[in-house]
Amino acid sequence: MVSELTSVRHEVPDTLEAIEYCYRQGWTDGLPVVPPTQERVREFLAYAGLDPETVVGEVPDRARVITAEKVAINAVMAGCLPAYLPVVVAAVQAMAADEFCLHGSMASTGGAAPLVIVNGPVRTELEMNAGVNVFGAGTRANATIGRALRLVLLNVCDARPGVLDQATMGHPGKYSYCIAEDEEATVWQPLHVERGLPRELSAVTVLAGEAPHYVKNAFGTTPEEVLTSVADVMAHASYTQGAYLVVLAPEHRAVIERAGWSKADVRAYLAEHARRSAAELKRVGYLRGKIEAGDNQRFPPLVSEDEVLVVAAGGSGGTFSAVVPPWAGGRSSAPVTRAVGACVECE
Amino acid sequence: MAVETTERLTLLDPRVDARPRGTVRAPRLAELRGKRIGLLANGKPNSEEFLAALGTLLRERYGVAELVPARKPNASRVAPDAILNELGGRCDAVVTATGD
Repeated sequence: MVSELTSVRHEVPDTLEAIEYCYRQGWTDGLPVVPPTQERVREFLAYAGLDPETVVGEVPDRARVITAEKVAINAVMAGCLPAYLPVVVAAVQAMAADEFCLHGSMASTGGAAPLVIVNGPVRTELEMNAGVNVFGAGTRANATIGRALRLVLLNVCDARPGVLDQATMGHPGKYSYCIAEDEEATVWQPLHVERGLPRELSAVTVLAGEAPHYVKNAFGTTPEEVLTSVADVMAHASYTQGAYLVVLAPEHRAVIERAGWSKADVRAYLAEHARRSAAELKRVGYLRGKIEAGDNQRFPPLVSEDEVLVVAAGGSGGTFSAVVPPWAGGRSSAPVTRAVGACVECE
Repeated sequence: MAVETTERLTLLDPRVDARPRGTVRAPRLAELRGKRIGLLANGKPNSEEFLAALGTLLRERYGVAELVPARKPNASRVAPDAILNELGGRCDAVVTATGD
């Protein structure tokens, strides 16, 4: 039997007033929300086959339990369609995994945001964008799935700016941060397959990331040339050790794929070449201490091969890829992959 | 012609309250003299240096008898139970501080 919805009820006269009411309650991210009516929330839960009381995740540091009911309410508010809820639920499960370090990453002055990467058949079912303007605006599923996570963080986890979110800068991905991989446009293995799931499953991978940094390389004709540009963006003189997402656009992929390189080859190359000498790091005060003999030849490790996530996405025609550096907490948070639609509370 | 609407909506609250933990505040110390004070660094750079300087002040200015330094292994996570239990068992009060 399906449990009753247990959230506190708020009566409002009409839809426009409801939108303003949500603002007055402090329930929004600054943009208008869809009013979370009982009927709409029930419709979402029914679509996903979820009982409202189902525990999707917990944030023990904040003594909070995230139920399916609360995820559905916030997904409605974000503008999701019912079919998006299983993706949002999987992303919340991933964020709530211990290795993600949700509390630290959302509270930190480092100001990261959870980035969702969607793989598998659900991308096409939901008409997600993996192509042109992949990090940008214009696609309902990308925009509202990412926004639903933000509203869960604000409303369920109390990640209020200035309270339990102390981001120094924040970034635009803190409104919504969700992309899909362009699996059909690459010969490479999709991210979720690389991370151990069957290709036919749909999955989300969530990582605590800074904003995307562009990599421009218009004239590189070998994998080494293109990827040296990527490595250079990764190894800027304020880098963080941890998991990096590298989103390679079609123009850059063409160069790399044509040479027969796999994602594993890309990861290995970047792990070896994304580095900066101790001398340079000391020169800018990133490392403490005076520059000593040998510091020009000493390279503190930045990433290991398995910390580089390679994703095929972006529009064709431009020679721009992107690097999403990790949250400043670095290895305190690891990317987490979860299947979409798999059982939440397996009996 | 204006249309009268009788629409009313019932919204569901999207928030969650923190679960009560059943914890209470320890009584405040009347004075620091002769007390044993824990110094829990959060693990960031300079947190231990800061607490060490504070510890010197606590000894010299307030007559604290003993200092018990500890350090969280990860600044972004709650201190492990072993550290909390040790500090809780040994100390009259604990000061925790962040670095950077």
